[in-house]
Order: sequence, then C-alpha cells, then structure tokens
Amino acid sequence: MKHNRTAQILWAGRELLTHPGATLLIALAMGLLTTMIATGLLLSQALTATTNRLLSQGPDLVVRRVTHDGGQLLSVKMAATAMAIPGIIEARPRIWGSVRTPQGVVTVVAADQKALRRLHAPASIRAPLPGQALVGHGVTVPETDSRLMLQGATMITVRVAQRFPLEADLVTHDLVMLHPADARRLLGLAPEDACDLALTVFHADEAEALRPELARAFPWPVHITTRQDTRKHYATAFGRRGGLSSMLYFPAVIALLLLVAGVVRQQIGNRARIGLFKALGWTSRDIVALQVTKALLVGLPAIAGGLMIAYGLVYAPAQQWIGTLLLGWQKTAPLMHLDTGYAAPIFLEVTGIVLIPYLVAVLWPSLVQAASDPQDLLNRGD
Amino acid sequence: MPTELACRHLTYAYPAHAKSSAGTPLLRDIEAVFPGGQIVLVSGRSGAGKSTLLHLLAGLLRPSSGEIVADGQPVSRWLTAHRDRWRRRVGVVFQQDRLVSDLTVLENVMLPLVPRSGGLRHWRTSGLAMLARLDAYDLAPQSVDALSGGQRQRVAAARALVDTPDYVVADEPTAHQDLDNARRLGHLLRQTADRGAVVVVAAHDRHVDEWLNVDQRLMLDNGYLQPAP
Repeated sequence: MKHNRTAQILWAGRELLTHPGATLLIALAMGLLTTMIATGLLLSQALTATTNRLLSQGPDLVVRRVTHDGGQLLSVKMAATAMAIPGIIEARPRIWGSVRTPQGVVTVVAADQKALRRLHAPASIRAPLPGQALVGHGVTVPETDSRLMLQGATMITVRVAQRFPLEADLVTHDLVMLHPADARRLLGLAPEDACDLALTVFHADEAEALRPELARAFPWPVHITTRQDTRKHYATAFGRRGGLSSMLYFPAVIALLLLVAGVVRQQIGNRARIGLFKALGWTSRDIVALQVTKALLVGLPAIAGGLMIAYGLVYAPAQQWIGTLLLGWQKTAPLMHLDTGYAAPIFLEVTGIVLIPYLVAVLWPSLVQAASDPQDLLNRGD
Repeated sequence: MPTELACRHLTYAYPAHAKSSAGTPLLRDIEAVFPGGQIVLVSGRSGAGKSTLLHLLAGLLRPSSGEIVADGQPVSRWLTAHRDRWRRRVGVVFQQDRLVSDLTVLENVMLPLVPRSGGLRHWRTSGLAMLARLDAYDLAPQSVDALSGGQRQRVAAARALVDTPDYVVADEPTAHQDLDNARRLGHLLRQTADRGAVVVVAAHDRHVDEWLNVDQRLMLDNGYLQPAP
C-alpha cells in the first residue's frame, strides 16, 4: 500500500487544529514580521525603480547659467552653442519657475505637445492650450470652477484642463504645466529668455564626459546637472526621510528572535508527544516530516499573506503613508512602479529571512528529540 | 526464523540523572526467551521492574548491558534509525495509557497507521474495526478526556493492536477493566499470539487466569526473572 501524502498533510493540519490559538498566533506573528521586512525592502526597490523610470524620460544633461547670486536666465540662442559640441544631439531651452497660488507654492513649466510626447506621456494627456493648465495631484484647485490663480511676475488665472497621471506623481506632484506663452507672461520672461537648456546626448554614458566641454563652450559660468546627479539628489532626499522606514527592521529582528525562541520552547515542550509517537512506531524521519509539514502549513500562507499586505502597502494606489513619510504630502501619494525583476527576488529573500529561522526552530528540537529513546522523552516530558 | 524476542544477559540500571536509585541495577543479568505464538505473563510486586522490562523489550529503552534480540537480531544495539523502523512491528500498551488528550478516540487509535501506508479511509476503517472488537466503537468520536479509566485502557489496547504487530507488550492492560472487557481483551491477545506474534503481558492481577489464557509465567523478583512457581 502506498504512502498517501495528501492524507498525511491532512493529518498535519488536524494536529495544528488541536491548538488553534497557538497556531493562529504563530501565523499572525509570521505574517506581521513578513509585512514589516518586505515593506521596507519593497519601498526601497519601488522608489529606485519609479525614480529611474521617470528620470529616464528626462534630459541627459541640464545646463544653467549661474552667477554669485544664483541662477540667471540665458538666451534661447545658446541652444545652438550646445548643439555645436559633438555628442549632443538635441538642446531645448526650458521655461520654468516657482510661483505662488492661494494654497501654496507650485512649480510652473512650459510645454507644448511635442515636449509631452518626448516625455512618453499617455496619449490621453494633451498639452495645455493658452489659458489652460495641466497640474499634478498635489495642486489644490477650487472644486467650484476648476480655476487656478497663479502669482508670479504677473498674476494669471488658468483653467485646470487635466491632471498628470498618478504614476508620474513622484515628479509631477506640485507641478503646473502651462502653454509657453502663458508661462512666459507669468514668469515675466522675454521671448528670447530661457531658464536652462535640456540636452540629449548620443550616448547616455558619455554625459559625464561632456561636462568640461560644455563648461568651456559658454561665455559665463554654468551649472551642469547629469541624470545621475538628479538620481542621487532623489536618492538622498528619499533616504533622509525613508531612513525612518528602516527602523521597522529593529522591531522585526526582535520579533523574529522572540518567534524563534517561542517556537523552540513549544517544540521542547512537545517531547512527551514525540516520545509517544516514536513508541507507536513513528520513525525520526516521520516525525521530522510531520513537523516540516506543520511548519509549512502555518508558515507559507502566513508569509504569502504578509507579502500581499506589504505589496498593497507599497503599490496600491490609495496608500497615503508613503507620500506622508517621504515627501510630507498630506493628500495624495505616488503610484509606485513595480519592477518584477527586482520584486521577485525580494519576495524570495523575505520568505527565506522569515521561513528559514522558523523551520530551524521547528526542526532543531525535533531532530534532537527524534534521536532520543522514546521512554526517555516520555519520562522527561511528564 | 519464527518470531521471537529474547533477553541476553540483560541488565538495566537507571541513569545517574534519573532517579535516587540510580546506579543500582533494577534488572540483573536476565536470560529469557519470549517465543512467537505464546502469551508470556510477567508478574512481580510493584516496583519490581516489570514496566522497565517491557519498555526494554519494546525498544523504548536501551539496556545498561546485555541485549534484546528480536528474530536473531540484536535490536537494542542498533542505531536509532534502524530501531525506529523495527519498532513499527511492536504494539505497546502503557500502564498509564498515554492517550493524546487533544485527539479523539479514533484519532488516537489511528496514530500508529498515519506514517505508514494507506490513507484516511484505511486508517479510519482499521481503527473502527479494532475499537469494535474491544466494544469501544461508540467511543470513536469522543474526546479521550471524557472516558473512564477502563475505556481509556481499551482505547490504548486498540491503538497497540491496530496495525497487527509482531510483538505486543502490554503493561497492566486490564487494571481498570470489568471481567467482560478483560476477557474481550484477553481473547484478542490470544488471537494475536495465535497468528504467531510474541505477546508479553505484565500484571500482578491475581485473577489474571479468569481473562487470559497464559502459555508461560515468569516472575520478576529482586531484579531477576525466573519461572513463576
């Protein structure tokens, strides 16, 4: 007659149900532990993936004119100067600045349909026409008429035609995109003025090497920012606030140690039962198989549940806490980009971090006990 | 080779950490053969070492010196893994029944079958059949905590016999039984022996002849095992 694995798994389940409270407690502890560890790791991965994805749509290099007072305007004709440098294939003068709204300060940029397409914006997103604005989810607009008052060099009022997609909220949260003519009027810029130059290079890897040539090409001092610099800037900004989330690891490690200690204690308390099972003809292998099956029946669903919660906490659209923690946002939160190539190893890593100590805590006492004489276990368990 | 259990110069003393009497041999240089097909009764006063002898015979303990030989093999000297496998052929009735309180009666009886073969249906059928032979069929779904002492002993006996073992050691299996149930168990042990199994029963019940048809009687006294007068 063959071994019936299904029946033995059912038996392991039945054994777990003899102590439902303890089983539930261990499952909850493992699930919570998984959530704590996985949330920190997934958040870190999600921020990196989301930032990289968004920045990859931006310029390779940005050149700003600077003086001892700070940034200065430059002429749109300087785009030709940049284009004269080998390796640079596009130079776009940009118009942007900070202005006030009744609800607070926002960043204004000018863009036309061509610029939007360059950013791989969804087809449903249209560049603002004169008098219109495309705004981020952090820009508050009166519900009554959707009109936004902007105070820069002059005051203008525009109608909010659309909002940026939530997926781009990490970089568009407080952004107001205007028609170039409206932006110039708001910021008080002449037709030949630009705030900086956004450059595209032939080989992205060469951006860093072009810095010295760019610096020499302009008749005044410039500040040059590469995509890598921007990436570092975001990483530092997130890291400073996101460091708080790493504090999750400390209680998680304590919880893991307590869980392991509790399970070892529980297993040692089971020696009379194991002694009896051995006396009834269970081999050491049978006992270890039972304990592993029981551990997996508790551990795998608990860890899967913990991972799902962590996934929801990081990637679900309605999550508020990430925006509050990382950026101080009060209402909306960024929609994170899931890179399965990175998330899958994290899922495996967290499963290992939680499951392996748990399995060891279950197996180690079982292996020691399984090597003992049954009567010895029965006597010590009494 | 016919089924047989034997003690060869078997001596047992409690380990140093176990009892105040540690070091003093409880069993001394025992030489005995327990042949298949026979019921051997081991008697002796309380504390004489009957339970210890049965535990040694069942492979639950290792002797201090000497050996237990089963079918010509020195099983007491075997490595744990081999002894574990051999123990599958042994059915044990403990003096303190040792039922698992958080399982039902039927689940307790099914316990020896779980790691072996078959499935839930086979385990259940075998368990119920054995309970029926001991007039305990109706107890199957009950918690063992709800049973009387006699009922618990019958369940423990059913658990020991459910997998048709080649060696049965039963320690005071009828201490709390009425005569009818004791006879029922005695009859079952007789059938077990008749199919060739070794059956060793420890009892100091003076009325044992009323329920058990014994083939050989041994007496444990002062650590020595000898034929009963």
